[in-house]
Amino acid sequence: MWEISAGIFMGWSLGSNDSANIFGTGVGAKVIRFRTAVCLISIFVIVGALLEGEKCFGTVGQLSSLDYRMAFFTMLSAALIVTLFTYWGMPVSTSQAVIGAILGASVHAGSTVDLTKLYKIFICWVLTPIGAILTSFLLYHLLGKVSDRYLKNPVLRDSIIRWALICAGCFGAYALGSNNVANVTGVYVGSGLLIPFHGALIGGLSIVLGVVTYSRKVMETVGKKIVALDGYSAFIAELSAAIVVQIFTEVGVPVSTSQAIVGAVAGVGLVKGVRAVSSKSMIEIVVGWISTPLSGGAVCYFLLILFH
Amino acid sequence: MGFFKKGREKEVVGMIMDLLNKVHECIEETEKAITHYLNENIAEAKTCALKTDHIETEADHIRRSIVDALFKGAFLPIFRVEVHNFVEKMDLIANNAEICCDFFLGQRPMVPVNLKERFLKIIHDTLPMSRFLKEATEDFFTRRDHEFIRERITQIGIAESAIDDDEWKLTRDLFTSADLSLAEKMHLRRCLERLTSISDQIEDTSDWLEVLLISTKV
Repeated sequence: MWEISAGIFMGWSLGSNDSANIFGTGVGAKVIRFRTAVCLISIFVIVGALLEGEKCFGTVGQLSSLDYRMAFFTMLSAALIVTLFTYWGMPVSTSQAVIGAILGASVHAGSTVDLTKLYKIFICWVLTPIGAILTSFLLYHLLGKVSDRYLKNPVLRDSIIRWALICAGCFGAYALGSNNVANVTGVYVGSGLLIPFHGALIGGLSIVLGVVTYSRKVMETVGKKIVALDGYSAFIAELSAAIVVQIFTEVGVPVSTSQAIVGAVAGVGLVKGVRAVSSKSMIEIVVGWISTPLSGGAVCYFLLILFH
Repeated sequence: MGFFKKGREKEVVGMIMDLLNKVHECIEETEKAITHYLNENIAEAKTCALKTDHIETEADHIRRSIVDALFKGAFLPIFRVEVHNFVEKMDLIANNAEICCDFFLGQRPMVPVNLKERFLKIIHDTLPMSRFLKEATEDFFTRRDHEFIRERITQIGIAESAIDDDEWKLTRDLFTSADLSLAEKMHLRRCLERLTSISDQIEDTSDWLEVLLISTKV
């Protein structure tokens, strides 16, 4: 069972980084306290992982056939890439690192890769930011009309937006748990080391470990970066990202929550006629579709050559 | 948990209303002080100026309480900054009123008899502007009726333009007068600037109210 330590490392890394995508705006804006945010994220990540986490296990676990040891090296290399990229301040997607590492392990082992699943995964990666842009664009207009018509009193409006931000954050945490838990324990479930329920539980708990122990700095940094959004826009961005990630959970493909939130913020900017996200961020997303899986795959391949 | 405390915003709105009342009282007392001064009733003018000073101090306390509440997290961040700017601008109205009283009673400008009515008219016309601002702000924080608020803001703009026009004509008449020395003209010009600074600040504050109105519209 020691093999799952790499998965726990990955879950910790994911939790410490991606929780900022959920409540970064709320904490930065002092809408919600850090401790409250951590409690809510922890609860909803576990609930999401346990209720719907299994939906993505199939895609990650059955992309290629790996044994326990290879599963360990796959997760170790993906976790290393995520940690290193984060340390260097480069945007990184855990989903892309994990899929890349699985491909690296498959190349090393000479095992076949389910290309249909791989194409599906890649299309979903591309559709994540695009879907988030479209969703936030539509929601902004739709809910904006409701807000303008029925929420005249600024005090009431402010209060409702605060609650809405919290609810969208909880939904985002649920979507993170349901979608990204497969990145943590999917390969172990695929290799037969864990049953899906245990995979969801261990994956969810390791994400929570990252949220509880190491998310404060990232959350405050992200919060300050995107705090320029007004309350309503922040709510739309959070909700849109959560909706898109949850849709991909139903499709069964783990996607990047970071790319979903960047897309959602870009969509809000599109409505307002301003560039809310820099061209650099958009280029980084496109480059990330190739560079992150390649790095994950290369590290995994060389680790297997060295130690397996 | 701070988030679940609902009263903070209501408390801020209540304090903004108190501040508005103080600002309005300040202008009322300033008007009385200047009227007494121009009627050469200096003792009464002093009493009113002293009242203006006290009311302005109270307004300052309220402003500081509002800022404290905003720092504690009342309202969402961007709106919070806009409310803060609005409150600061509102407080400047009371400050300008106090400075105006100080100018009259500290420097005792010699206003020619034939021009007194025109000086008085400026401060008389400033008072309704303050009332319009009060009504618009009250409406903004309760039912946010765009039409009503914009109509009040427009009225403030019209009144300010009329005061500007009076100021321009009065300045011209001062400087073309053969009865006044250049020093007197310059002093009266400064006096006029002090008077019109109140209406200028009311218009500036109403512009910020419009910013608040835009920022809460999706």
